[in-house]
Amino acid sequence: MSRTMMLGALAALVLAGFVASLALGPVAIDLGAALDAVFGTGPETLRLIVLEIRLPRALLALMIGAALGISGAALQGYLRNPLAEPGVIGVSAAGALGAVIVFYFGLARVFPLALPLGGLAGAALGVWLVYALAGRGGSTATLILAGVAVNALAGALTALALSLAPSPFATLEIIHWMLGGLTDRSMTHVWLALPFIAAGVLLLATLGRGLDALSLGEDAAASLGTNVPALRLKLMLGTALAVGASTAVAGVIGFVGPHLLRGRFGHRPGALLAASALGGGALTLAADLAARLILTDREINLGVLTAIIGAPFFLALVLQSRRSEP
Amino acid sequence: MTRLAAENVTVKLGPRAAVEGVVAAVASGELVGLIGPNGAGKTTLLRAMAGLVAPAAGRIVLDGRVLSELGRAARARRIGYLPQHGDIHWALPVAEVVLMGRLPHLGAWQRAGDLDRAIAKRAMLALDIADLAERAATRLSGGEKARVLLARALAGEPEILLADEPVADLDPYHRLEVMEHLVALAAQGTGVVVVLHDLALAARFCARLVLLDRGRVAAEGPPASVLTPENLAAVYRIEAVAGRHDGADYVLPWRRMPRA
Repeated sequence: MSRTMMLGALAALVLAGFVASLALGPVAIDLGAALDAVFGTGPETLRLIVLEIRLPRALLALMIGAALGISGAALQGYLRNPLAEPGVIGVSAAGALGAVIVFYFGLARVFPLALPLGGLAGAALGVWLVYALAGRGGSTATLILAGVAVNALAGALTALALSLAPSPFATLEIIHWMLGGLTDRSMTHVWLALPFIAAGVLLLATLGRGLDALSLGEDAAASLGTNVPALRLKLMLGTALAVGASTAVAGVIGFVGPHLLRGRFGHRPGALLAASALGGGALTLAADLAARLILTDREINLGVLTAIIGAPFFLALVLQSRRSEP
Repeated sequence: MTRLAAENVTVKLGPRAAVEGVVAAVASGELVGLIGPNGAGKTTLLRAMAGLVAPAAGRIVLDGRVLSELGRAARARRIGYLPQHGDIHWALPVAEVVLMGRLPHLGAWQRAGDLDRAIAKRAMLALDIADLAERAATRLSGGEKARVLLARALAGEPEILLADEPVADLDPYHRLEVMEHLVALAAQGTGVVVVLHDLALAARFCARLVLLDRGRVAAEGPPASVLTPENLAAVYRIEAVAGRHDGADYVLPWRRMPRA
């Protein structure tokens, strides 16, 4: 199958997941009625369920999956490491910290948008910190170490906020949000995250050629005309926008990346960007469907589900890469 | 006729000058050997000449124009660079790696076309790696990888090629093979600078040598005038056996000099 056809197949998968996400849930709605509701016809109750509950949820799953997928692919290409994902450079953790601080001070109840904005600010700060630590000409190893440091710092501060939380409610709120999920999200969340995610994804989508050249190392890439410092800056900015906005509206959702696609699309980083955006969208839509359908009486948090599926897979990847080392 | 020159170039790595006041040049059709002990500044000079590190003083000039004033793309089209211990980080097919040599010739959103593929194919044929086209680049022997990376550089059709120790990891057979390719490339009009530790290869294949010592040029000229017992003693602190064979000079490092 050619690359274009496989991209088409992934797009079809995304579409199927999206439509299923509108139709399936505690109340099953048939496909025709669900689509009618999207376009504003049909019974009032169905319109409410589809437009107010399921549409924002499906849109967020798609946006966030695409953002995490393309960020993961770009980071793997830049770090030249098939295990990399947004969590590695500390953006997710810093975004989470920003939101936790909002919970801690109870700002979310005073001003609803404080939560997403806090997440965005945290992610941007995390990226800035990683960039400042790794420096303009920093090597890949320095960048990873800086990511580890930011992760540790954000984790420690998050734990501090939890242990000092003013009330059990705040603790519960923080924990629930940290598990990651799309329950009770509205179109407000979609509109808030969309511009940032779109800007981030578009920025990352321009990096294909430079990431390809980086397969040969930084000097070779520079000699082939790649502006490596500019590429690094765009990568960090794009990741902060895409992942920061995602973390802000949905909490921490890990293990969405191009790992599964390498077998079919090959290892060329540029070729994996679009595939990983689509794949991430399809995966997140499917995981969110599973999160609401597996148990009949309550929902599983989306972030928990992706971690339960993703972590063993990640472990297998680590073992595999250990075996291939000389 | 293309000429790439370092004019009184000083390059600092941190506070230390790795290269200081170096004058050196390569022109079309020339094979220049850049030699010197470890830490002499060979790689730094080569990176400066490739435009990868900016000189703290002096300038790199390509055909009368300061290199830093040339755009990235224009520089990449004209100067090819082979880094030391070339890495290939992903299990890409060899054909894709070689095709990357064409990147400088493509517009921002342009994809490699038939002409690019034909040029890459020709580079692979020239280096006898056409049968490796579908092989994953991470599964190559040292000799194969060296040829693949050289083919990648040739695919860019550079006017000047700067190669940093392209034979370092190779056995004698493949060392001779790669050197013969570089000689042929120079004969076809490319200007080639090659960093070498193997003095026998330097004497045998290079028309001209530049000997670096602690960041400065210690000697420059035809191999016979550079690889003298005095220079080898002063710069490398070795004694060598020298002679002539097949109409070419050879030098064979023999023993270390006692510490002064």
